[in-house]
Amino acid sequence: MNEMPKRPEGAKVSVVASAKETSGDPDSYQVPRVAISEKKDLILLQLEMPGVGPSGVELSIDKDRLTVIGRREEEVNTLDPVYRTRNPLHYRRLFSLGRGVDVDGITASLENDGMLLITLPKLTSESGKSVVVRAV
Amino acid sequence: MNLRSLIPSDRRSTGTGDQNGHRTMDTGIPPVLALTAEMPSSNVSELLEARYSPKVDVYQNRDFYIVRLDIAGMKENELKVGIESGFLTISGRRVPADGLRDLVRSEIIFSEFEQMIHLTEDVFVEGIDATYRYGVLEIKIPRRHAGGVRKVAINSEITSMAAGGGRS
Repeated sequence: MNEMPKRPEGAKVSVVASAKETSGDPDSYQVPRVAISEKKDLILLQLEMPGVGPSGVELSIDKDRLTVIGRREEEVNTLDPVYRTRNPLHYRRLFSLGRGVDVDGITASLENDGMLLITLPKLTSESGKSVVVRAV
Repeated sequence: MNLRSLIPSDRRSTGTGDQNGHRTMDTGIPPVLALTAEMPSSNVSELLEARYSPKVDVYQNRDFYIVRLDIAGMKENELKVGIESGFLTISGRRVPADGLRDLVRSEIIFSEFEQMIHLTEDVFVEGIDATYRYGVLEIKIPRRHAGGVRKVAINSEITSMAAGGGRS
């Protein structure tokens, strides 16, 4: 017997470029797994964050550091636990960005599948020359 | 600029003998992206495992089982849920999304998977209900000795007939 599960709609995630220090006890987060692919003009990060919806994602950029936080949706558990192997913690992971990344062009999106996709555009060689000066 | 050469060498799939990993700036090439020291809590063998094994929670009370699996990166029609003789089976194949196949690094395991969960024999198969939301598959299964009116999943019957799939 096969069933086709229902799904809600996905949504774009807004990227907040701020120097805001992310709050919370580091022990209250787990580190999400990442897969990285590279194209000629951009780098793509996939972060495995099951349980996180678009409203639970927070990206912040402080100089060369990209912080990604994903907060799991709250789950109601009124039944008795029998067996548990899932990690219930929220997610957080840091990335160091080189000067080759166009920080202002970073975008992120999250569909229904719990896989956060972050696009890091590379600076072209022309714009890169001017950006060296601008480097934070 | 090639990201492959910029990833810390201890993170590449094959050992290069450089166990201390992180590259210094004297390569002359600023890294486009570097991972910080924080890594998933999994050990190395888990990262290298060939087969994906979704994490699962099982809850129960007198009337229901609720099973939740963390399975990010799927489409709902790629997930198969079956139940037979008290065994709940969740299976599928996780593949990278289109345009994301050329991975230079992956801690995420893309493979077929099958997770089997032994429940009691009193599960009410026709009442099973599955929802995939933000990478979490939640399956609710009524138990037979539950009193009152039972929900019958007429929609799923039609769906499986339309798809030409026979019910087991």
